[in-house]
Amino acid sequence: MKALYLAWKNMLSKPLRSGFSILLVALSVGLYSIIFLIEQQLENHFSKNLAETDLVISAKGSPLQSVLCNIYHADVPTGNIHLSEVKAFFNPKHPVIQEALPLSLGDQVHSYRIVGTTSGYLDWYKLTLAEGDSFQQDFDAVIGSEVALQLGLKPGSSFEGGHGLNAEDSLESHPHRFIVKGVLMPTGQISDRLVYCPISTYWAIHDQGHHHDHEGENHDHEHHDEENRTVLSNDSLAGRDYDISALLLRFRGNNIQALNFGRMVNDNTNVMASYPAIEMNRLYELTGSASDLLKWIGLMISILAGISIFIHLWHSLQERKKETALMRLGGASKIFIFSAYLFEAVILGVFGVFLAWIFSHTFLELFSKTTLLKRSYQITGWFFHMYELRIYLFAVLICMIAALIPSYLAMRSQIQEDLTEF
Amino acid sequence: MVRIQDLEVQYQGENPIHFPDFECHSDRPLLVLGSSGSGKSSLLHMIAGLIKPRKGKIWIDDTEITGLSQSEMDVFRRKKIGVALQKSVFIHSLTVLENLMYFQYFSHAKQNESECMDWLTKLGLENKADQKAFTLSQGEQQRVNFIRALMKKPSLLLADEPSSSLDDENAIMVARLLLHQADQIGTTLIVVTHDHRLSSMFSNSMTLV
Repeated sequence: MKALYLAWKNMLSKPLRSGFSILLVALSVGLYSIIFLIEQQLENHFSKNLAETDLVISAKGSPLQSVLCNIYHADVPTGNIHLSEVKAFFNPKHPVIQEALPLSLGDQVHSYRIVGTTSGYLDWYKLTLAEGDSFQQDFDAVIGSEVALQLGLKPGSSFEGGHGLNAEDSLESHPHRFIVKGVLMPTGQISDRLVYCPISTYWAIHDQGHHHDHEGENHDHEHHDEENRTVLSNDSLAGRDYDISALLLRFRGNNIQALNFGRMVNDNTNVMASYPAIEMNRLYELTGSASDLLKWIGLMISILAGISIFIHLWHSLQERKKETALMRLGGASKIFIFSAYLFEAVILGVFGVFLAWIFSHTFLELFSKTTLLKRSYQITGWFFHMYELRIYLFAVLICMIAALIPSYLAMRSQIQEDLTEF
Repeated sequence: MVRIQDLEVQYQGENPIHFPDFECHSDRPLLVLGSSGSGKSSLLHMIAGLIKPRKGKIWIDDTEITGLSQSEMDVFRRKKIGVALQKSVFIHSLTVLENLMYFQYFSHAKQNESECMDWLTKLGLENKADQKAFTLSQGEQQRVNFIRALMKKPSLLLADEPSSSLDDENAIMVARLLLHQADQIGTTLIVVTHDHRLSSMFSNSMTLV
């Protein structure tokens, strides 16, 4: 404790030099920490929201875009596909496909995406209702917990949707009002930020299909033919002649047929099959090199911080040569002298790490709020991970290693040699 | 008691310096006078066990310190010898009181704040306890230096040029203080200096040439 207190006082006696060393540690560890926190949250986000989807069927285009749009709701659809093109995939006796979930996208309310789907969505995403019921007819809506909170909606409330995926980009708002039927339990996933409605609602809004005749400009949902229009389950899709944005598929097993299924679809049909797992790996590879570069920069600054601490202690060693000799003359043990120098590095490291912890989380929270990171990927500064502790311990270890040589030299200082200068 | 016998030191490339035999007891403090280069500081460093003599023997009480290993000497010095250096050096980041308490800790004595304060009061420095040691005047620093050496009640107190940078009044005061405190705690005192102003205050003195 005595050595620790002395180290503390010694550090305080050189505020500028100590402050600079702490700042360097904070910056390097903070940068590393930010990259780690973003990576970790992105991985969590991507794996949690995958919902065991094996394959995404969509219009031809970019497979990554299709996965990002239809699973993570972070990109625009590649286009529409006709139900007739994917009708076979709804067959419950399909040898490869166990389940399918159709999606229609393209509208939003205050930038929260409205997803048209069938009643299977609750089981598919393992969602439970906190309030109310699931949708029963067109223009019924089930909303995510964040949508409910942010827009102040509850069962019985109504809202107006708009075309486009962002409120700012919305060219027009359609006159159809949605009625909130249910609110979902919070999941920490993208579903918190989505609005679900029957897929046929999209067809009603966009006046699609051939079974329905226009009755004028006002398409109030109460006026359209519910018998023909409202589609609640996959079974009721049979015989319909409409477009959807995508179809999510789950395989019966990971057999060779399943592995070749996507290629077979791509080769033999007009739609595109994308494997989320493959596309996400591709994305990690793309972003991985950028994050690796940033991590290397962080490591370089960490080494600089280590050098700064070495220089800090080296100067102290020179300045305190007489003090050290005096302490040894007074009876201070070599271990005490070694510890006092080492503790000084540890204190600098701990302060640097603490500052890095505050800096990284605060920065991430502010940065994610001002960018799309929070909205699209739920990245927040309020995310903590045990691995962070390892980064921080590693940083303190680097500080200790940097202190080893000055501490050793201080311990080995010869009293008589230094005393001759007195 | 300190006894020197046939003591000689030699630095690389220089002629050996021979020291006269002497004995010093607690009731007769010794003043060692000598000009620069006479070897008086070397004598002090040898008695403190900081440098090894080329030949000869030194006894402190019943221990022949010239036969001790470096680590044994470190322990012996910590227990038995107080050294007041020519220049006052302190642990820069600590206050006067903290400095004294750390030196209590180094000498394995029980840390006792009130004892430190008693010493500071005795030497008129009680209101300086919470100041950083380097902010004190030279005379005050010298007094703290003595407290640090005396506080562990050593068998032997060595003072190197205690009055070198002081005016006459302060030089006499410092010498009186050393003699008085050494007498109070019954320690053997050896003062090494080139300052002849002190010679009148010591009945036992020797000059190195």
